Amino acid sequence: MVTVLNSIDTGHEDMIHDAETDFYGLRLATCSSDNSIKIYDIKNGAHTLLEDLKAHFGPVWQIAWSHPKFGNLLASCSYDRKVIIWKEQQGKWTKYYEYANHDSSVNSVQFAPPECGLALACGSSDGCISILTYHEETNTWDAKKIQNAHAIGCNAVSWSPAVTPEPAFGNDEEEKFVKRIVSGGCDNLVKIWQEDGDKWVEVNKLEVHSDWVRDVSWAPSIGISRHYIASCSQDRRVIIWTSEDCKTWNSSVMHTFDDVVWNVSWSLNGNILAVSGGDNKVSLWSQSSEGWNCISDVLKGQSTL
Amino acid sequence: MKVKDLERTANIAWSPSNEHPIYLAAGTAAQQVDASFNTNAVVEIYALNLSEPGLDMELKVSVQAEHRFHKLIWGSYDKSSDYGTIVGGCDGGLIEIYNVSKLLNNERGLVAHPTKHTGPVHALDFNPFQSNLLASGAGESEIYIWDLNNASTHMTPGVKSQPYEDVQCVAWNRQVQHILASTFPSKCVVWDLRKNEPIIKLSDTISRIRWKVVAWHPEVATQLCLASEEDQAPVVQLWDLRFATSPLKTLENHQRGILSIAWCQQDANLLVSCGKDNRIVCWNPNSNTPGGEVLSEVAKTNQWNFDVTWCPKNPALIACPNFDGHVSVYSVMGGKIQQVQTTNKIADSFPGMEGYAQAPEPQQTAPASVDLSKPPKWLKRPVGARFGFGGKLITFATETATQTAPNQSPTVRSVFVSQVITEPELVNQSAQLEQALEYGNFTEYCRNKADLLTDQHKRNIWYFLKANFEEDPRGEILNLLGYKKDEINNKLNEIVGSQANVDGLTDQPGSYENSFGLDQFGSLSQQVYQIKTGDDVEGLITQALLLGNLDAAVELCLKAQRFADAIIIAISGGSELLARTQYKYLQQSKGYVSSLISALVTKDWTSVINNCDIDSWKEALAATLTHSSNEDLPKLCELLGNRLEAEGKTNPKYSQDAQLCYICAGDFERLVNSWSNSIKKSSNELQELVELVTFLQKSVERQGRRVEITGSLADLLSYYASILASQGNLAVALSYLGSSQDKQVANLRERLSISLGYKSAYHQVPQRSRHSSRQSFSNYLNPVTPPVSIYNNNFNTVLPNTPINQPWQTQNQAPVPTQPFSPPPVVQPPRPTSVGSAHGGGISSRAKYVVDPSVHSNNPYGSRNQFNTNAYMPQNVPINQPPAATTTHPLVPNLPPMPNPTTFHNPLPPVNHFDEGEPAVPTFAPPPQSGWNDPPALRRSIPRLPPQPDYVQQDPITHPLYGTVPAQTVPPSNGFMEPIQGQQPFTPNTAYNPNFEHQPMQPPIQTTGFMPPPNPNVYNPIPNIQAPKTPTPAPVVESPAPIQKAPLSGEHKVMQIVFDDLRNRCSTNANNPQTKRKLEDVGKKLEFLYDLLRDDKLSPNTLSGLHQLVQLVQSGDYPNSISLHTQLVSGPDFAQIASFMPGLKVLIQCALQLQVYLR
Repeated sequence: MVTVLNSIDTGHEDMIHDAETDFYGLRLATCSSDNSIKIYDIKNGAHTLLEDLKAHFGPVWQIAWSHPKFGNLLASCSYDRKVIIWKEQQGKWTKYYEYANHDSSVNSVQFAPPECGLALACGSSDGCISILTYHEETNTWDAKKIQNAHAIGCNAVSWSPAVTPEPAFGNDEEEKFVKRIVSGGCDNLVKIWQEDGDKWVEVNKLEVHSDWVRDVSWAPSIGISRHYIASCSQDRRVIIWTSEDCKTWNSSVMHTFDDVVWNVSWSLNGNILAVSGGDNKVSLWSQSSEGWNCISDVLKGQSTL
Repeated sequence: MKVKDLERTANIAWSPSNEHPIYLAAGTAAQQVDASFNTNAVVEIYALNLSEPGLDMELKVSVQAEHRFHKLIWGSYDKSSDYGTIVGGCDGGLIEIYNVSKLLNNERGLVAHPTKHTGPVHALDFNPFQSNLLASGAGESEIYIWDLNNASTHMTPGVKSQPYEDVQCVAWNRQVQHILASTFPSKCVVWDLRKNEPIIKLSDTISRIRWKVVAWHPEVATQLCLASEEDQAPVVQLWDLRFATSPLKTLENHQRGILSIAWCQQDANLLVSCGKDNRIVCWNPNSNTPGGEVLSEVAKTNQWNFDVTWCPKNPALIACPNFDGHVSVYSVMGGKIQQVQTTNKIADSFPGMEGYAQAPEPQQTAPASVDLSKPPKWLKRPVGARFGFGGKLITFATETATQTAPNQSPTVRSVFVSQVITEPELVNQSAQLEQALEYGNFTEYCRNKADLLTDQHKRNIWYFLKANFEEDPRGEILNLLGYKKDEINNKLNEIVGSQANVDGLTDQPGSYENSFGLDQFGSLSQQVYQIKTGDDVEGLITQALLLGNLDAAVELCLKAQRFADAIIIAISGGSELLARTQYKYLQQSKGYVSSLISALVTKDWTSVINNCDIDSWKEALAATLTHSSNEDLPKLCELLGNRLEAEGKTNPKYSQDAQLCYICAGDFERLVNSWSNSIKKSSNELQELVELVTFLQKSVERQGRRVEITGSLADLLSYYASILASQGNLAVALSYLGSSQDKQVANLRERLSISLGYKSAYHQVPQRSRHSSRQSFSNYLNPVTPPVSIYNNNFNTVLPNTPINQPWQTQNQAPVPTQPFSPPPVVQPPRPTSVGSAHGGGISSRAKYVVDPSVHSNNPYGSRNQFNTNAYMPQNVPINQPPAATTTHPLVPNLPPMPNPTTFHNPLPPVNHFDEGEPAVPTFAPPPQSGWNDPPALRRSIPRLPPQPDYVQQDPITHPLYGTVPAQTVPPSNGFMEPIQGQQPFTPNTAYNPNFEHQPMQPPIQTTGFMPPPNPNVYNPIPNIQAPKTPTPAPVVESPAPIQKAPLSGEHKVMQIVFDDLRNRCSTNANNPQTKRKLEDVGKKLEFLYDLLRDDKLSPNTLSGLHQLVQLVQSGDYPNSISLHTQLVSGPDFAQIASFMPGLKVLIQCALQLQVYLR
């Protein structure tokens, strides 16, 4: 069951496009079409505005927090074709790095799992995906671009969790994991890319959706040896892709909704999926032996189940 | 950006929005003639194929048509299949109607071809609401409405408009289904089909306009756009039919006449137009920019684009046929065109050609990426949800226009934070487990649990666990195995008779010697006998005996199978001979009894375990339990368990029995492993296993062994903790994680601690701290206030007191008001400096403690010692570091007035744990003493104390523990030096140690560099204070925290005494960490109370209630005091008292439970 703990009036002047908490759940960042990003402190149920970052020239579509071991970094991507990484220093947030090498709106940004080092993937409407990696020795960022990832634009990117899922308790082998990302685009495809040497290659092209793929999300590893990816689309369906070895994927339609589905997000334990749909509805789904069931219907934050 | 390209001169139509995949139909254009004057007409259907790279579209089908087309449209009407209908307008008034599914099947697709019109049919449109209705326009102002169900007849929308002109375009309204617009070169007529007559005629008489195209607004029913192809007036005008005298807006950007416009159905702010100036422009027709707002110029071509249409399904695409023989599909989203490697395709067709030189890529300057200056609606995500740590769900949504009344206050854009609980059962059970652990009634819990279960094996498990908590675990387990000691002993006794020491014998295996008294020997040889020494066996034996050659005698006896004799002889021959003889005897004896005996003798039970039949495992276990030592028991049980498990592959019962052995052994790894793997699927099983494991942990600890959390146990606990965390029970989750160093566990623990605020999260990465973790009790005091800083300095000055609290605590000696001795120099006002920085600026003015990150790195108690007692470093640090001295220096000017209770609240109530029960109060009374003796408890700095940003950061310097710099930096003005030195003789060092013991669980508080607000008053008296100091080290050590603060006025003092005393007693009596923690919390709450008392903020009502409460507590009447408490809480002053009342309640309850009384 879902209970609303807190309702934060952000004061944004236009639509909010993303809201995310950091690693510890103590801070919240929101971004909006009013070109700004707001950061709040949400400890213990109260909320205080810490910072209002205005450096984009267009609506900011998505934000992502890094793992704290790299410092307090927040990445944002915007319609103005830029990806900005912000860093908190002494209580102030300043621009740490700016990447402006896309030809069109950057729609999605996500940090890699901390075991992969400090890296960031961004998907853009120009059809390309960039992977920015930070090199500590030289204190520089380098960018690798996947050209033509999706024909008329990439809408979402998501990293695979770093640890190879272990079959049960007690397996202590740590394999060298391969970096993988999944992306969804306006060509209705879900694609999986893998790092191979110094470039990225496409390893799977999953074609089931009949309209734009709005969001993809790779489930966090929960210790069972299976990968799950959720993708949602303009065609009102959410599809769950599963694989045991990351090579072949099986799909199943989780549900067909009444309106377009904008967003899918896995819980940190990887067993609940939050789905946000066009009619302002957010629902939670969880898997049982019979399939996926809706365990809650949260309408704009008010719980109904 | 051009996405696809076709080399055709054709009129095109997109497949409707409900069809998938997206097709593009192309019918040869009647307007053009190609070089060969070819008049062939084809209708082709191409698949858009966005997923394939490259500019080509895949041709699906191509059929010959009789005529070429002026216009082509694709509607979704289809009686039989989903592919819809293509309608083309041709010359000669001919309309061709094709059924697409038939076309795709390569059948004859033309289903109808009425020829009712006059002249070329230029205008066609499907009704968006009734897909069988088609409007067509041709010459002589003819407009016909067709019903595709019956294409032979048609109707008209009204009387043909005079003068007769060619109908350029028809368009159905997108909101109202019976409205149709039609354009003639000189006017635009809007028809109402219900009334069957025109309702409005639009014309612009001012400028010369030749209307070409009309497009309705997708959302507003009365608005439409008209485009003019007149080169002198190449405009697009937005009209609203309600004000039909003049256009609302005029979009002027084309240089020459406009040939076509299209309005995006998904985003009404996008209108695209193409014209004779070879450009395709995208506008926002709704904006108020004069002259029209151009969002982007989508393309500039070489020839006229004569048509432009939005793809209904994929709103980013527009298709534009061009007079230069191409149909291009553009994306309005920008991006650069990708050079397609056509060479690859060639290489595929001509194998072996790859080696040849590649044709040089035509060097084109990559066109600039073009996208709309404002994002289209379809990029804007209106709703979303994301999970956060601790089971939180963050959701946001957009208020739709209908929900907020216009003219009201601006739209509130909110984000909701919710808690998601999906495993309420688990949470409940976990809470019950917590409670049980706290109360400590393990045996009862186990028994209850066992009673509730039905599965015999599980019951056994719980009984075994329960046994572990009993007085005599081994005996209990033996009992469970079926060997009731008393019963069996009785039985044996009966059988054996009452002969001496039967019991004694069984309890002392191996003590063969002296089991028979000499007197018994004496009675043996009474008869007279001959001693023969022949060569027979007996004789030989006799010879050996007579000569004292016992070895030989023994050997002879053994050979003669006279084992008993051999052994008896061997006994007299020394232990080595005995051992050998035993060995030989046992080796040759058969039978299980002998094995047992041999094990008994050799104390080698492993052989029993290894060699007995697996069915006798119970006996083996019993044997082990009875005989093995405490060190060996776990190993042996584990061995047995292993065997059982190995056998368990064939017989599952054995693996269950193996679990029992593991329980006896206290072996977590195996136990967890042997539990079924369905833990992850069923939370019940998980809960059970965790309960088991927790209880086992407790029992193992009781036995004195330490439990290492590693391997499978670590995995299990971290999994469990992460589930609890995801349900929001962060604190409980943390309690399961202990202090294991297993990576996963440590990571999770770190995350939980920071999230709970036990540690501060946001440190400056590069800057100072060597550790990445800061342990400060951020919101220990106050949930909303930012982290607390602990001022470290005054270590010395409060030497006597310091031992009481952990060193870092000592810092804050509140300058007792005006009393000179008052807590020496320490007063630390909250120091926001570094703290502020550290905490993202969110520090409110109530920042009580500011954490100085620098201190962390130096803090010995720091990262390593989360819950440990090893913070002994201070011992080595010469306590007489005068950190205070040094730090006071810069503060001198900033000293707040003394009276300010600058005592810091002791964030670690544990400090009070040190108190051996003596109330703090006594030290209050004599002011001088209180000054020195006061444990430098951190006192909550009162808000009056403004942050002092100009404090110089003196990181290492002020660190009392590292006695490095401080000495040097003592400012001369600091009168402290002397007194501080003088403190050395103090015994605090020794005093420290015991105190440290008391706090196994205190997360170390950061010692921060801080400057005690130099209180001039404080300085002076220091020398004076010395004297009183000496006599009081002892009591000082004992006194608990609250001394620095201004003493409470008399009557309230009593309250303080009583409560503190009670709390201290409870905490010394409490035997588990949870209770201790609760009591620390209580201490904090008590501080709130004391502050309120000091400030006189409580109402008389409350005060009297509190005093009553105190009296009740003093008299030990807890039940009544709880009911009084409840009364108070439900009284009118709740707001005032809410900060400390819960603490009082917990205190009283603990006292009640622990049976602690003040007398």
